[in-house]
Amino acid sequence: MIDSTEADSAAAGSIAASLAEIGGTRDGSTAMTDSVAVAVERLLREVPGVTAIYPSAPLPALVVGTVLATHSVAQAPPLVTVSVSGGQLRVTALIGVDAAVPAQATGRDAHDRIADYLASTGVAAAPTARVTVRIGMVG
Amino acid sequence: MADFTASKRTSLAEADDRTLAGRAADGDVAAFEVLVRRYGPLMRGYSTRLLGSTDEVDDVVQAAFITAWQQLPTLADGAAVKSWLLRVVNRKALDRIRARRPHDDLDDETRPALTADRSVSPEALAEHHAVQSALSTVLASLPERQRQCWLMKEIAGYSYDQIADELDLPPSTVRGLLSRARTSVIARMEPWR
Amino acid sequence: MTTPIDDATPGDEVLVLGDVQLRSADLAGHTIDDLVDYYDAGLLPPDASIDSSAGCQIALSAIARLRALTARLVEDDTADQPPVNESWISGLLGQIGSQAQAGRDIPLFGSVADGGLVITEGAVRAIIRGAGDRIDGLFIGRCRFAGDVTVAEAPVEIDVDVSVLWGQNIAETAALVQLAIVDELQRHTRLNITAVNVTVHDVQRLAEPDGATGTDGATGTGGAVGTDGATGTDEEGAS
Repeated sequence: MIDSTEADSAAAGSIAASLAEIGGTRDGSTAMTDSVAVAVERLLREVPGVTAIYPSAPLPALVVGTVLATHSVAQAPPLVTVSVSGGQLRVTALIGVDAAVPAQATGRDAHDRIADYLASTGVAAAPTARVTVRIGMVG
Repeated sequence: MADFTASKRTSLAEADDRTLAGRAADGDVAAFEVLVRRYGPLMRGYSTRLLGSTDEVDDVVQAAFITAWQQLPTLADGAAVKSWLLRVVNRKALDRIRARRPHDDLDDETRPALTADRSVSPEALAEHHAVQSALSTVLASLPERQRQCWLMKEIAGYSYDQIADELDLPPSTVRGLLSRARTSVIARMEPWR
Repeated sequence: MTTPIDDATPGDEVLVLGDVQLRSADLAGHTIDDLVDYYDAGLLPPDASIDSSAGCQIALSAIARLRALTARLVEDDTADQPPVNESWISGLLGQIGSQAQAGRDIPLFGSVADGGLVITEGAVRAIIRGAGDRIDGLFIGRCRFAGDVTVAEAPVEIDVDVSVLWGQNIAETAALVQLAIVDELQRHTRLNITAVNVTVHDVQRLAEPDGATGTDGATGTGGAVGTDGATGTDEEGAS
């Protein structure tokens, strides 16, 4: 859940401030987390060796209703999961990679590019951002 | 590492059932697709006989394969995937039949016998086709419950108890239905010896 | 011929075969179901009352004929189906989630708390299958992991089921596959593989594309390969 207390560190506080401004929804997603998710997805498609992006978090049926209510009809839930917990921005992506390149290398590349993006755009810098890349397919 | 895939002489389409079922259970969509192509027609033919028409066969077989994809990890003996798939589609077909008529009749004397799907064309009068057609007609004319029991026992290989479970009937009733179905079919096929 | 309303007593049926009528007494007190079950059991264990009854023998041969006809009916039903509808197939495949069997997350770097990189069991199985796909005359089937894959550096054993073309040397094939698997896993993951156990079931011929499958031969088991490269003893399956 969104944490907007003043005890947050400066970096986390900036996230909290923007989220509080926009207002969170019951499922925790906001316009901000959605735009981060879309940006990360676009970024992943440019990573050499990444061949697929799978839905990171299968949404439980109950949540789908809420999500659809807060998003435009044409917009499906983002493939990349972005959430804020305890002032920490969490990004999780589930990808497929090409077997021609060691999966560790491709995965590491993807992870680092996401972390660099978050830091460079001022959304969040490590250690307040937790980026998890899961490789779901190698082939 | 050099890629020798292109030189591989045998394709996944020729792999045995145990291999395909194992791969599909582990998440290999390509192996699952081979199973779909390999046993789809069998499942279509069987469910057509169970449903009595081709109307809902596409949906029933698709639903069966979706369930199969989810349940394959539970299949201990991959070599038995063919009969396992028949059971999955059997259940889907029975679900569809129940949905048609919520008030099920144990026996359906009042229901007109189903007409066989195929007619015997002049070109198909070779003895083989005539005999097969006769069996087809005899099966289609059985009362529905007898036909279900017969198909499940004689083609899908269920045991008496398994049929009782699936149809929610006492085992003694299943034996009675099968006894009548068998007597009927054997007697009516006798002229075709 | 309409049949009466079903009841629970199957014993009073008359089996009519042309101009022959077989009642319970003609079948030595047996029902048609008894005889079908006897037939299905391969006429074992021998039942003298059935074997010595002319009526039962007549009924059994009718049962055998019907079985043969039924088998051909199934073949015909299958062959009569319309050609595969490609859009039906792609519609179906589009509905199944390819990540349904993802399994556990296997660490590559980082940690759950700090974030990092993981690979799923499903992806590792795909790597293993890919290693086998590059070797002619064999296919890797089911894969299992023994050991806690979720803990970095923990010892893990791989169990794979493999099918080979009849005539292939089972021991050689098992060794080839073990090396290929270890190679690929070292390349893509950080798993600490302590053994690759290969179970080989050879098939007489690979399946025809129309679905007839070859008979499975005996199974042989390949031995373990440790990280020091030693190979365990292999059992040859009977050919």
